Amino acid sequence: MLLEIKNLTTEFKVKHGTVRAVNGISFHVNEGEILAIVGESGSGKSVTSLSIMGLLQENGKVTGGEILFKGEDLLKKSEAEMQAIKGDQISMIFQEPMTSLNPVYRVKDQIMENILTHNKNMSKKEALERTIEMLRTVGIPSPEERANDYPHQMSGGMRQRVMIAMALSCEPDLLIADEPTTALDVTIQAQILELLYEMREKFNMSVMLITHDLGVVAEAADRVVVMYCGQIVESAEVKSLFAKPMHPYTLGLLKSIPRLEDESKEPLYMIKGMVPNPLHMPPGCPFSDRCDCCMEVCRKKMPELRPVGDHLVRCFLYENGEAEK
Amino acid sequence: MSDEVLLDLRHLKKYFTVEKSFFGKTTSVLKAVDDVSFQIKKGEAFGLVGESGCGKSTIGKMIVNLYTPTAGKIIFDGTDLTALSKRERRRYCKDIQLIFQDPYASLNPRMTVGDIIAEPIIINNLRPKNEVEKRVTELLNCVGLSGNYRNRYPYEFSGGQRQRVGIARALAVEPKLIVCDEPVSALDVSIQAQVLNLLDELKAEFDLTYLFIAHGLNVVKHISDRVGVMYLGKMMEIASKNELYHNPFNPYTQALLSAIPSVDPTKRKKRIVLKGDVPSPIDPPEGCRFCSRCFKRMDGCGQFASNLMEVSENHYVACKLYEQQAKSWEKERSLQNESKES
Repeated sequence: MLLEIKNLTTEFKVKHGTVRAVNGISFHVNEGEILAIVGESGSGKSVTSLSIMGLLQENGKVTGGEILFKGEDLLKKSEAEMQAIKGDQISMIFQEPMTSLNPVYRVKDQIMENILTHNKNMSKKEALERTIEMLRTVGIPSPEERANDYPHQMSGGMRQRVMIAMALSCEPDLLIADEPTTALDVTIQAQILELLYEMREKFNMSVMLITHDLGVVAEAADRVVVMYCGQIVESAEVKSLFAKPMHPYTLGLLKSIPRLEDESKEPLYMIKGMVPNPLHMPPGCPFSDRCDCCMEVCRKKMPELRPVGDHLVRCFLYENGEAEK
Repeated sequence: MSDEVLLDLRHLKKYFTVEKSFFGKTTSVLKAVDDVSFQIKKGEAFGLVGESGCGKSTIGKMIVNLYTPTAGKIIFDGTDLTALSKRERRRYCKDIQLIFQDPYASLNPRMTVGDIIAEPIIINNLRPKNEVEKRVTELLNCVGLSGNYRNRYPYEFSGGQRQRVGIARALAVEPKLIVCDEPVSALDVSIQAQVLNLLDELKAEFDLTYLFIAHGLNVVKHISDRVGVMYLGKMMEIASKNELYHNPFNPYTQALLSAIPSVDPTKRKKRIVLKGDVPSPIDPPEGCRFCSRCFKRMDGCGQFASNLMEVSENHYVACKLYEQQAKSWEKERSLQNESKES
């Protein structure tokens, strides 16, 4: 187990109170595995990744739980210790390749900075060679010349490649990819997903893939965690999850995607209503208001995340075998 | 769907001047839309897909008069809109409405939702003053919002609800054609389905015609009857949706379809992964626009581009590979016509 999250809780102080963006979640990432975290906006998937990296905004704070990376708790590390881990053992790529590169530095300088920070004995010349090598690995044509470009001279897909090159330049053990393809066109998305796959094989790294796109999950992930309102509602192997979604939310999400194979002109399945306001969460299950199978108990009590078959599911339907009825 | 053509675009072009020399001579031109023609029939939903920069939104903006075409004709209901004077052109604005992509940017934050929807009704004098309020409530109910929301401001709504307000505003003037410019791409999956179903219902209820612009092919397929695929300002292929998805001819369409991740992990397929990026429209490749990334490129693709040709019943393709097929289809059709006449 490379990364183990235990009971992580992250809270944000806002004008009208405290928002619990991540509410006691536990999961793990195995070595060489691609774990996908799916959820809609506001489900807490990005906050989870920022909590791991220690990149929360000032009003946010991890208020409970443990983040064990190779057995050590990242939350107990000092700032300096975290600096040494970030970029070297854990890297992150962000959603917006347009805004996450520094516009006033050349691409090569930005990648070299990371390499030189984590390899104190390396000369600049070696670092440059390594940079060009990395740019070639991620598929940038004529990397010797493009390394001198500024970010604005590159297209979105190229910039995302530069981000990936930067993140992989120190051969991290864990790559956190926060919506790496959302801002890109489908043909470029296919290129980037292919690249992530290759890189995983090549460097034997683990990837935590955060996305809202179930298509990307089905295509790339080994295991999936589905989040809703700061909690894990279901987690399973990817094939099993798509073949037999158990939680009504997962089921609804899968049914509401328009499919290419679908020939009928039937209206799409809809999950009614919308995500509740994080300041006014319903007392029971946060999905109860939108759920088709809502029972009386759902509005009063919060269900536990418990194993059902080879899934973990948080739903009362599976508590007393109600689902079979 | 009838056979009557509502919107007919003929050789539409839009060039933007990027750079001018010191003496004001244009030195660099961006060809956003380059000679595109297609028709939309009454009651039809026509989908327009393509990657960013292919010119699909530019076409939408020309139709609603936000851009003036450089050349070509936009014939709406029998009238050439490009030949009209500014004053005459405005009369047609009422018939063609636009739903925007970003529901967070397209509603005035200082107006109540009721005022936003009432504004076009008042400007166009569609209802006597005392009936405007009733009409606004009616429209809000149409898009699935309660009439009590009239006095609220846009910030009080979620993305999906705002998009509903945008749709109500478009419906307020009883348009014939609605241009939907990526109406669901800013929304979450569960909300996306709600808005798509709403658009489908409204189309049937008010007898609307849609030009549906999107980059998500699965979304376009769900809502459209016919689909056009664009690349770098050119139309690459037009066909009915089932024909296009089952039997794509143009290599670009094939690659685009194959790039969509399937929602079934057991079907991880070998994708056609295109090399490289979309070239800049300022300096597009000579000949076929797609030739720099095409995996079926032949000799001559870099010099001459094919025009859009009919290769089978109502299936149009612009690609060198199918020139033979187009010729034989033409022959077959003329034979059919002759036999009909005799």
